[in-house]
Formats: sequence, structure tokens, C-alpha cells
Amino acid sequence: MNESASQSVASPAARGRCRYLALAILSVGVAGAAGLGWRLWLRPRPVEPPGVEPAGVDPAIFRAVERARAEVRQQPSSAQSWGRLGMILLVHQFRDEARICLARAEQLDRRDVRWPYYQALALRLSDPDAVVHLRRAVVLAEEAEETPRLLLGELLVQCGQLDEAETIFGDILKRDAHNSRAHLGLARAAFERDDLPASLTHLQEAKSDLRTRKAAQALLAKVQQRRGDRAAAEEALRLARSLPEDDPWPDPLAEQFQALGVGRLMTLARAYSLIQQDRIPEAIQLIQQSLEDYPDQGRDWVLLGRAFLRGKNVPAAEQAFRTALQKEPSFVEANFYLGVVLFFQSKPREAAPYFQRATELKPDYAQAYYNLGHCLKQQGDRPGALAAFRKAVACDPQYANARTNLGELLAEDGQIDAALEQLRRAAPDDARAKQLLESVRKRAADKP
Amino acid sequence: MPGLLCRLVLLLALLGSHVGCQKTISTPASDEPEEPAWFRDDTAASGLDFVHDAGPTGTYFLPQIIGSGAALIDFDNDGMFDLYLLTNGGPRSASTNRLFKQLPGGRFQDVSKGSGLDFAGHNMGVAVGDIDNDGRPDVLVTQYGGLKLFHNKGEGVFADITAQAGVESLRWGASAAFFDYDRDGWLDLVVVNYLNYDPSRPCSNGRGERDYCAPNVFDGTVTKLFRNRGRGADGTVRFENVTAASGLARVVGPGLGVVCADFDGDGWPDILVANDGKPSHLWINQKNGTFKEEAMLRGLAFNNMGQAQAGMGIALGDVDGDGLFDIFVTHLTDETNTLWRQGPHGLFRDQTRFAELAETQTRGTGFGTILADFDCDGLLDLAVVNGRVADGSPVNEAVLGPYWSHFAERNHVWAGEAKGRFRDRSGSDRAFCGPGAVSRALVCGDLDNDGGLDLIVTTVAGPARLFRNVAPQRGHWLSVRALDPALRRDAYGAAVTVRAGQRRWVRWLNPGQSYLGSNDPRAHFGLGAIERIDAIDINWPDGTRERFDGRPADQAIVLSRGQGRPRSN
Repeated sequence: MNESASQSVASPAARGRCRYLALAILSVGVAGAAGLGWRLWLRPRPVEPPGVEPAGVDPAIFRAVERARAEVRQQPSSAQSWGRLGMILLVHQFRDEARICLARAEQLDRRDVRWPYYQALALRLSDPDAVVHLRRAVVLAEEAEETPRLLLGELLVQCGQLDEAETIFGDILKRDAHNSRAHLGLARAAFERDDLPASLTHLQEAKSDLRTRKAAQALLAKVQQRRGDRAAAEEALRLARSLPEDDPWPDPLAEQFQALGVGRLMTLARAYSLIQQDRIPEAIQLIQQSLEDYPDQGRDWVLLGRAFLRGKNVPAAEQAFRTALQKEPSFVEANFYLGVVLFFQSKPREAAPYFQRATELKPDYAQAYYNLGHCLKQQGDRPGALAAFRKAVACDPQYANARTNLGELLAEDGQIDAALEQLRRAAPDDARAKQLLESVRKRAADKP
Repeated sequence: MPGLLCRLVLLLALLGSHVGCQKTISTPASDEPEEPAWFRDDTAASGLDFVHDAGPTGTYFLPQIIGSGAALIDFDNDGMFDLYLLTNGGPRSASTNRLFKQLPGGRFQDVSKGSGLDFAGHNMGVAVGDIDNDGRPDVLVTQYGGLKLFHNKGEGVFADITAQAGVESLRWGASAAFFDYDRDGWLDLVVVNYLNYDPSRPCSNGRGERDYCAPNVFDGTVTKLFRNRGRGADGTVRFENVTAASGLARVVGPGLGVVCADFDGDGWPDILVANDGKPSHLWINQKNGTFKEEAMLRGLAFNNMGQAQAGMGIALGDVDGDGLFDIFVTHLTDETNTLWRQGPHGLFRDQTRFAELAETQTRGTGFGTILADFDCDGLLDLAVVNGRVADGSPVNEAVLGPYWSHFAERNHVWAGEAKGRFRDRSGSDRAFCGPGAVSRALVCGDLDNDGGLDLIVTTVAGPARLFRNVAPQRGHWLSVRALDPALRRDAYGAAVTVRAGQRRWVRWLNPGQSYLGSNDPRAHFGLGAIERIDAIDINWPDGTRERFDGRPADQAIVLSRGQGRPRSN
């Protein structure tokens, strides 16, 4: 080889090494750039948290949402902030927005059972996608937090995944052998498998708990019907129909976001619940507070009046109903209840026009016609009273009291056959009708 | 060193290539439907020019969102179905219900004027039946706050006989159906009533926004039953309100949908009422003028999670070919529609998931619904029309405007498959499934007698649409009209079975199903590849059974009672 040639032109091997080195440098550079780009891509960007449009939304709700959003902006990496915003959106039924926030909270803190659980609740319980979220929630849930497990089991029954559902319910029963909701879930799973004896066994446990007894009796009716035991089926059906709605199952996790509810409707719902529990002074206070913020809501004045009436404060009730009418003169309930409170004060002449107005606004208002009939009867307007009771019966043929009063008036007017017709139809449901029927029959028989 | 560098470069190269590959190339989703459509929008071509009047917006008057119905009715007995469409603008509105006569060639002509059926009101549902057995179908219209019964006098004229017939009601009527519950040959009437509504009561959703009231704000009402007592001395039919005597007054409910059929297999028609947000009511005929409510016993009250759902429309059909009809009820967007399969006889089970009808992408607030064999392959298909009842994200805003777009949804159609399963084919039927509307009634019938079942859809504040069946390669078919010549009308309540070899198909005749509407009263059968059937069995409403000879497929026939061979089973 010519030495000068080797010095002026690189050998193939040397050229190869150079290319090799260049390639290596290039590769490192590309990889480094790619890695940097990937990190930048992953880095959380400032995110605008979901909000709601103010138009039409209760101002108290809007303010609560905005405060929670401000917290998120201040602490964009805080799972608690995102979660709280999600909870406030969820309790006020902004479900799509809530899911976004709760998903973000879960990304930031994968150990908090609330985030996947609330995402499941933000979907309707009949949504199969809820199962996905509930599975994650169950993994995180403490032993005592049974509600996500129970709900998952129930959804799995609905999805037809009975094996997994039964495992979940079974695990719950290992800790709490008398958990009626788990028994009810197992009863449903067994029913889906056509294992009626197993279903019956579990229903025996479920039917004695106030939180599951109605649902258990309803399922029991189905099971017995399938077994061919018609008598047992009808008895279960009778019980299911006679029972009040099952008491709610406690859900401490859900209660956390429910407690964040604000606004007029939430307040009124709480007030209504207090009235149902006969906690009248508390209910009145809540409603009055709400009326300070929303003074023009006729419906809320009617609720206040009804609370006063329940608490036997008739003058205050009358004032509330009058205010409701001032705000909304065409509000049927305001007219009706003002009539009621005037009637209670033995003022039928003043009460009658309000019942009349209620029937004009709602032509099928049987109770209003009935009350009007009583007002007119007390004023001595028998034809008017007859017409009103007839209307009440026409609106609601099952209105036994209306038929009884109609029958009584007809009898007094000497229209015996017509009276007997009305009293006969009312008698099965009204003891007074039975008595009147007997006396009218006797009178008719004694007549020469 | 070179070796190490080599490995490093290789690793980085791989990393680089991996990073590069990690960014996958996404292909845009195909915009082309996968299968040929079954339906073509022939509204314009048919001359059907009807726009529903829902009244003024902004007051959230609840009857407005419930919609109005439609009926197929051959009012002039010319063998072609005519159309009757209802509107809901209120009694003082300029818009009225309209009657369209079908002309040869498939176009429709407005013959409302002078018909007596062109009246304004809050018109809800319509039922069709020959109440006086004079050979001409009569019409009942339910209203918010009333009922109207019309006698078909012939020549396209209907007379309002509501008062004389004794069917007055002040309740909010929804769906209704004629059926012969006492098997005396006279068509009786069941009217489902909705809510004890207070129009002065404003409602808001959970966000505090004004919205239509949810049904649970008000009490439900009773379903009313009117017994047809036949013609009086003056020739007018009289009905007797037997609601209380029959037992139907024992329970109230927010009823919307109704279907009458023999649910317990004893040969006497029963009544299923779909209640909105409450368990359905199944009234079992006790054969003595009374009914017992047994939905819970027979598995129709709750889904398999033990929940009562919003119940609107009802479809009836044998989806799994076992000879027993099944029931499909439509619900809210946030719920699933429910398929109840019957088995054993008289007992039902929620099989929605098994049938693959619970998928999230096919959700909507369903109203009108039909189980029918649209492609005549021998398997029942399913159609549902949707439209929200509460404010949601806008859909199809350019067409529907800023208000109604918030209630619009797309319709859905599924192809029936073996063993009672269904396959969503909504993406292939763009005309029917559409860009979105506030759909309510869905009425089905073979308008052109070509063996393909066509559809009529009503919408709130929008046009009624006619969808012609254009399913390609339709299978063989048979259409059977079951006629009782003594009664001069269709035999409502008959069960028609077509047999071919080992196969059989059963249809139960009553045009009153779906939602607020009345359908083709004939039995339509898709037969697939079968070109000739072996026999047709009919169980007549009075309990008698007859067999009719086999014949070629692909025809519409009329079978009259008394012209078949008596059967004992």
C-alpha cells in the first residue's frame, strides 16, 4: 500500500468508525430531544377547571362552584381541591363536569376511595361503566366501607356477572353475617340462576330489615310465583304493597358530598324532610332563611304556610298563603290552602272563592271541589254544594268521602235512589257511608 | 468500547424508534355506513306535510314535552292506510289535528277539512277500533284534560259522540287501546292517564335551572276502563265507566304506555300499563269483569336490580321464537330500556343485557318502540325513537333551534339475531336514526303493501316523518288480516301462527302499542328463505281456534273466522 495514499484518504475502517460515531451522536441527540419532549408532554399544564354557566343556575350554587374552582386554580396539583370541586358539581347534578374533576382527583391521589366511588355515582347506577369505577373503589375501601362493595355486587348482578357478585356479597357476610343488603343481593343472584331455594334462604334474612324488607317481599313474591306457590306469592305481594318505602341504606361516603349541597332547592328539600319528621320549628326557620334570599317564590311561601299549619299556627299559616297569592295569584296550591286555612277558622264564605279559583285553574281538582261543596253546604247553598260534590266524584270516581257527602245531600233532598247509588259505591271505603246507607235504606223501607 | 457504544446506540436507537412508534398514526373513523339502510325518508316524496305544534316555549308546561301521537287508519276501507296526526298547541291554537288520505302511488292528501277530526287541543294519544261493528274504524283521541270519541260515519266524516257514548274524562289521558276484555264482541276501551298535574307549579332541576317537572312531583292517576255496552236504541254506542267495578281504580300510577294481550295464556286479554318512574301495572283479567294487578308477581314491575324505571313506550313480540311474546319498555337516557322475556308462560325476566340492548352508546330517552321484522329474515328487529324530557346538551341546533335542540336525541334500530339477541345497526340507518329530534310516537305498518314495514315518527314541535322500508334483499313475507265477518272488523286479540316445517312464528293482533299511537292491525311475518308456508293457525278472541291451508309467501291475505278448519289445540 502506498503510504501517502493511506494518509490522504481515510481507510474504509476509519470511515466506518466515523460514521459510527456520527450515528451515535445523532442517536443520542434524538433520544435526548425525544425524552425532553416526552417530559414536557407529561408535565401538567395549567388546567382551567370545569365550571357552569351562571344563566338560570341558583346563585348560591354558582358561588359555591366558583369558590371551589378558585381553590383548584390556586392548588392545581391538589387532589382535595379537584375532588371538592367534583363533589360540589356532583351534588348539584352537573354530572359530566363532576366526572372530569373526580377523574383528575383520582389521577393525583390514587389512594382515596372517594374519587372512583363518586365517579361511579356520577353515572347512573344502571350504567355498566359504573362497574369499572366501583372496582377501583372497592380495592381502596376500608373494611367498614361496605357501600361501594354492595353497590358493585348489585351492578354485577345486573350485568349477569353472578360469580363475582356472589363473591363480593359473600365476603361482606363473612364480616357481617346479617347484612341484609348482601343477603338481598345474593337472593337476586340466586333468582337469576333459577336457584329458588337459595333465593328464599337469603330473603328470610333480608325481609326483616327496615332497609330491605319491601324490596325483599317484592322479590319473594316473584320467587314464590315461580315456585308455583300462588298463595305465598300473593301474601308476599300484599306485604310488599302495604309496606312503606325501605329506609335508606347509610352511605357515609355519599353523605360527604351531599352535605355540600346549597341553594334553594336543597334548603327546601331539607325543610320538607324536617316537616315529615315533625320538626316544625326547624323547618320553619330553614324556609324563612331561604325566603330571605328568594322572596318571590310562591311555592316556598306555601311550604311555609303548610309548616305553620302543621304546627297549628293558623294565623301565621294564613299570612304565608296570602303572601304566596300576592306573589303568584294563579298558583293553585296557594288558592287551595288559603281556602283550607279560612275553612279551619270557620269562615266558609271567605274560603269558598279560593276553592272555586283552584278548580278554575285545575279543572280536575277533586279535593278543591269537595272542599267547595262543604263551604257551600255550610252557607246553605244546597244546589251549589250538590254540584260541587258531583264534580268531585266526576273528577275522581274513587273519592269515597265525596260520594258519601253527595249521597247524604241527595237523601236529605228526597232523591233516595240516587242517594243509595252514591252511598253504595262509597260504603266499601267509608264507614260513614255504610251507616248512612243503612239509615237511608231503613227510611226508604219505612216510607208508606 | 465500540461494543459498548454499539449497544448504547442500539438502545437509544431502539428508544428513539420506540418513541417514534409510540405516536401511533390514527386513521379517521370511517364515515361510511357498514350495511345498506333499511329506511328512506320519504316524507317529502309522499306529500306528508305536517308540523307538530307544541305551543309556546318557556313556560315548561309539562304536557308539551310528552308529545302527540299518530294512527294508521284505513278510514275509507280502500285497502290503503291513511294517516291521522295529532297536535298539541292547545284549544285556542290555530293548528289542528290532521287526516291524510293515502292515494294510489303512495302520496298523501290532506282531507282534514270537513272530517270532524280537525280540532285543536292538547292532543296526546289516539286509538283506532270499530266500536259499533259497522265495518268502519272509529277514533278515540286522548287529551290533557279530556277524551274525544269519534264515530266514523263514512265518506271521510267523523262525528263527535263523546258525551252520548259516556266516555268523558277530565284526566290527562296518554296512550289508549281498544280491546274486548269481556269477549262479548264489542270493543271496550282502556285509557291510561298520566299525572294529577298542577300547571301553576314551577319546577327546577338540581342545578336550580327552570325545567319540565319530573313525574314524581305529582301523584299518578288511575287507568280508566270503559265497557262497550253496544248500540243503544238510537243506534249510538254506549260505554260504561267500569274503572271502579273492574278493580283498576285500586291503584294509581303515572301511566304513559299501554298494551293489551293475553299475558297468562288463559285466552282472555289483560292490560299492561307502563308507568313513568314507577313499577308497571299488569292487570290480569279475572274473566268476571274484574282485574287483578300482578306485575310484581310476574316479574314486570322491576328490573333485575330491583328498580322501577321510567316507563314510556311498550313493544310486544316473540324475540326468541319460543312462541311466547316478550315485552320491551322504553326508559330514560340515564337508564336502560328493558327487555322482559317471557318464560315459562306468564312469567317474565329482565334479559336486557343478555340481549345486548344495554350498551351505553345506544342510550336515549325512549318513547315509541316497535318489535317487527323489517328485513323479513324471520327474526324480529327493534326500533326506538328518542327525545329528552329534561334539558341537555344541544343536538342538531341548526335545524331545531336553540330551545328544542336541548331535548333532541337520535333514534336507534337493532337487527334481531338468533336466541333473542340484537345488534345495533343505527349507524347504517342514518335517515331513520337521523341527526337528532325530539321524537315521540313511532307507528308501524306496511303502507304500500309491498311486504316491507314502514314507519311514521312524530316529533315535538317538528315534522312528522314517513320512513319507507327499502331494506335490500328482503326475505319472503306474509301479511295476514284476521277478520271476523260477524263483527265486520279486525279481530283484535287474535293470535296468528304461521308454520313452515319445523318453524313457526306467532303474532298477537292489536294495533294499540308503542306510544300514543295506533299501528297496522295486520299480522306481518318475515319468513326468510321460506317460499311457501304449510299452515296458518288463528286463535280467535272468543277462544275458538281454526287452521287455514298453506300457501305461497309474499302476499297479503285476509282470513275470516269460520272459513278455516276448527282446531282443538
